[in-house]
Amino acid sequence: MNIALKAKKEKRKKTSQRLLTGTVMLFVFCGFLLLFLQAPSPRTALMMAAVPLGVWAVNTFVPKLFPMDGLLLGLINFLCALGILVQYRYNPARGIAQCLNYSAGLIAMIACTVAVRHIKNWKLLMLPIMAGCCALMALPLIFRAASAGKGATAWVEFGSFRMQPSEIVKIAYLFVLAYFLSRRRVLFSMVFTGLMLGFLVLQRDLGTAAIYGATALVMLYAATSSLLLIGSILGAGVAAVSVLYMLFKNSFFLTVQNRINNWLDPFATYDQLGGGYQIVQSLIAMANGGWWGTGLGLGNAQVIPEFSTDFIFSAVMNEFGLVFSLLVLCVFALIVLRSADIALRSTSAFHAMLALGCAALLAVQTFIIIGGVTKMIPMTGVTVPFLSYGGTSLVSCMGVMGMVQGVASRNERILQEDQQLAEDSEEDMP
Amino acid sequence: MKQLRKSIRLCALMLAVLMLLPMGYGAYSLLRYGTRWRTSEYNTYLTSMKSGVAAGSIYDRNGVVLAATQTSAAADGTPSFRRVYAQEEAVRRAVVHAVGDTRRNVKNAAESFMAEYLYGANMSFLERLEQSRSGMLRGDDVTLTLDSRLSAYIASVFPENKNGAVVVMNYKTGELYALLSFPNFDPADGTAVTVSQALNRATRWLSAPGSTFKIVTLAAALQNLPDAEARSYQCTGGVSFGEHERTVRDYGGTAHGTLTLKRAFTQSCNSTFAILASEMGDKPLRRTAEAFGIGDDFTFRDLVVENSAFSSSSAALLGADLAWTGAGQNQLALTPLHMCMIAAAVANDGVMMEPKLLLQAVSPAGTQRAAFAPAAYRTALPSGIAATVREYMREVTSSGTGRQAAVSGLSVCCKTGTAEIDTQENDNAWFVGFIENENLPFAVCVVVQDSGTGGSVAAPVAQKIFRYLSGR
Amino acid sequence: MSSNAYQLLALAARALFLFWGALIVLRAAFNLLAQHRARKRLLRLLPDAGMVGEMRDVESNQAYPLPREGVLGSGRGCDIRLKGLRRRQVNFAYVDGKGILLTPCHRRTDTQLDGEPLRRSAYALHGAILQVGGYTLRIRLFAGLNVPHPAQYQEHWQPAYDDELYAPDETQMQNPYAAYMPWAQAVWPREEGEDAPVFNYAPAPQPMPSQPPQHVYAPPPQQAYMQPSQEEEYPAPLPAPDSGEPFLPEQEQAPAPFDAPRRHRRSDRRREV
Repeated sequence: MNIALKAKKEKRKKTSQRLLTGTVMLFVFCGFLLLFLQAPSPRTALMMAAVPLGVWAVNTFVPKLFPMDGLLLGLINFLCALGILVQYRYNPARGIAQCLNYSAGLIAMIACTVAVRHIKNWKLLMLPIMAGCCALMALPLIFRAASAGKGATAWVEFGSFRMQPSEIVKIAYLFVLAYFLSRRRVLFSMVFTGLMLGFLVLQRDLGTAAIYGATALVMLYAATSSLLLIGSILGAGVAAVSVLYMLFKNSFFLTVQNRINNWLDPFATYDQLGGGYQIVQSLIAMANGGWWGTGLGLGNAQVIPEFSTDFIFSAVMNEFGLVFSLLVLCVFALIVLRSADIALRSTSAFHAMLALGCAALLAVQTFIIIGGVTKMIPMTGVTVPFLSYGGTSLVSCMGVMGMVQGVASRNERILQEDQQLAEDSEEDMP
Repeated sequence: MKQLRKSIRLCALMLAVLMLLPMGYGAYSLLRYGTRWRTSEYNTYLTSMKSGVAAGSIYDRNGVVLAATQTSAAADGTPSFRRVYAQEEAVRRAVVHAVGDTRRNVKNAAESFMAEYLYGANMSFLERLEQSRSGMLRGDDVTLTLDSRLSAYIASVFPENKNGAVVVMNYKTGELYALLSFPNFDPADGTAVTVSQALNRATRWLSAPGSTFKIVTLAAALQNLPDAEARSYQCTGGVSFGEHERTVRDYGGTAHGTLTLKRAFTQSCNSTFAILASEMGDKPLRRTAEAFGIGDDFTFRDLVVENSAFSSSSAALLGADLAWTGAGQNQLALTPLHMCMIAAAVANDGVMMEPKLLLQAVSPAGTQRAAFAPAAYRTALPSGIAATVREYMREVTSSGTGRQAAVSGLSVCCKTGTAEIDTQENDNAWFVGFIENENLPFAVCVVVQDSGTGGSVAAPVAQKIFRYLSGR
Repeated sequence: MSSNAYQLLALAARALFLFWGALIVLRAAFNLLAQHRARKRLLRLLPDAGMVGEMRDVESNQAYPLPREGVLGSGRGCDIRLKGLRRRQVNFAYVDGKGILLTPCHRRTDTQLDGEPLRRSAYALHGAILQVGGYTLRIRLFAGLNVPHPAQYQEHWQPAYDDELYAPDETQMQNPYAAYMPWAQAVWPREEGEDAPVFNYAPAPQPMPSQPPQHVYAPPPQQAYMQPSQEEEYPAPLPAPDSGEPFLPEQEQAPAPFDAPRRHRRSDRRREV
């Protein structure tokens, strides 16, 4: 391709990238400025300077050091910055902790990018990864005796360090599924998925189980493109779930019954423990926000329990309004579409499936949590990607995005090689 | 890879659409239930919204002040607000369930349900700027459709020490002229309010409406049984249904003898309507009831009304249950307001208008922020059937159980009802009626709990209301 | 700042946040689409991007570009579609350092790779013959790929401008080095005692684009097929050079890359730019 055309394309790409970065910087700066005006403090002033600077630094330097997709990185940074802003507004300590989580997430993302870009022989890694998955998933069950009595026992605690293994396993699970489905070993992938789902159901973490299952279903469709197969699996799954539910409705799955009652009529169970209080307050927060929001700093989403983790989106809807929340969801959708675009450009089936799996994971998780928050589906204990407070949540989401970036950088490298070869052959022409 | 790429494209599009679905649902719920959730008692944001804003005044349709804010400066310079209500106690008591009180004892009254107007939540940014420059923030002034004088009068003629409700509605436009519930309380009084006093029986109390439901049964029979009008019916004081020989009895066991449909309606013969109901079956009757709005999820813009129910489950009714439902008992649950809306639909050629409470909301600067506009809620009946039902109801007033509601010089149509309640010693007296006059398009529903028959207890109250309305 | 003033400011800022959010979304969406289209345009300019070679039907001389991973069959989703085959016949995937991994989709197929029936999977190198469903396909890989026995050696067995013959919209370019390339003109000079070369094309000295090939593929003798496991038996009439450069008779120049039958359509595309 012509050198001049290439240069023009590069410049256009850079200006649009700068525009995105600049807008995000302005946004976050304005947000923190408002918070500073509301409650002046040196910490807020520091955040006001540091967060935009951090966004600029990451958007500018990281793609140079580790070849990455700039657009995807920009969108992810926007969401993370928004998350930090909203966390800081309600709880400054958590806001600063979220910054540290973001750094950890960035490291995870870079690690995953480098891994996916450079590792060529995945066959050898599969067995250790699968073994690691099963071991990590079994951990909470082994430790269950220690933290008995809670609804979902998907957490593992080592002293003061809490971890949710299913978030880490998510990444490995995607690798395994992508590898086997790209080689059309459908039965094996389904067995592995069933195993993972079994672990999750035993831990009563049904939201994560839904995510795992839906992602596997999407990847299965991509691999086989047979609607019949997907339909029959879906049907069998629904049947199995109903049977299990009927059998264990009042013993093992009591929380599920609870959740469904809360979903159907949260106002009726408002005063009960574990009742509809959360959902009602979330809906009220949404109604208070209305279309345009109450304004940053003027909302009162802190009355919702878990407002910084599961119901962070209600807080966004409260203060920024429904229209802005739609834009945030559009950003999520753009990330999914970009990942799919990267999958389409890939030349290897494994990498394409991997990128698609990451996109599906993000999409399904977002749908489940936001559907739960707006009472479209029953509430589950899943976090909002990028916005929620929580180390494991942010690290795993960034890791998943890192995988997509890895596929993107691999695509770019192959394309550059092809271009180089083409140019070489052209230059030598008479 | 080509196949894989094709499926990836499809999956990506589906996923993107999937992700945007919850927002669509959120937007829909906000449109439908937003006001309800915002004004819910569980909303703690209202207190912060209310602070610093002088709530606007509430007026009745004639400009009488029903509620206003008195501002005074506290010690540290911040303004403090005190809500005061109408001057006369009788007026205060009469409108308290519609207007509300400061401590929000009455759920979803105008004070809380229209808080977004009263506390200026719909102020545009520029208005807010203007107002804060002038000093104090003020909310909009709200004018209700109520007539405070009429309400005070009704409160004075309602039987003392009886619970009940009265609704007066303009059947052409849907405006509520009076919305009373008894027992009531004085919002200016500082004493504690009992649950019974705070309950708005006109909109939140559900009960079997007794024979007033026969309007619906009659409409269903006229539409589904072709020979209903022409036949003659035999009434022996009771009819048995079902294998357990449960009887539908007329009031007091009176046997009406041979009746035409019109006479059965005017005499309120339970046996006839029981026979009609069981001949029609559950489906046509239920369908007609649904056409009248029974079973709907009411989400009116101006007020919250409990949903009425045809029966406690959606399974088809049989035998004596169906018969009693046709006569107005069994598991029917309607609010007085809904019963009034049903009568209003008959009066308005079959078109049921949405009940309206807000006449207008005006900002302190004078811009009209909301104005009343009549809205048709449902078409309950074809106008021909409505005319026939009107004719029957006219008969009720002239020669039937509603004789005590007749006013000379006015064409009054009505239907009385007597609902037997197991837990009460006496029956609930129901009355629905309307004036057939272009200039007096009023429909009235009177319910007196634990009193007597509709014709003897509720109808006289309605007669006085009709007289007052017509100026006699 | 007084709470009232802050309230005003926050309410005004709502519009600002909304504006920036909308800007981000619209800009990102626009970029996504633009880059998608630009990529498509780029791929049109680099028709061989992502490809590793081609499969050529020897009888009709139809060339099918070979992507890195794909499936051969008659179905709609196949990367190489040939009529008469099963819906999905053979999966192929390029493995760096090994060649093209061919995996049959069904257990009983009549697919043959280099004469041997294709059972589970096998690596195909440049020049392998795939016989499937009545078609005979020759696998050709681009030079520069990391496979055993790279292309340069094999290509010397055929006329260098063979590819330009059948590109649809090409103007013929005279091969300026024709005089210097004895191997381009005649049958490869055989030395005594050697086996017959693998391919015995009789090349046309003046190729014309609209005419069908004047030589017909004659199945070479059986023992001349190269099996992946029998590399050591491969008759190498010339010693393999150490440097990896193509073999050159003395005092000859290296053939221009244009002649290497690699990116065969690039020459003409360049003119349009």
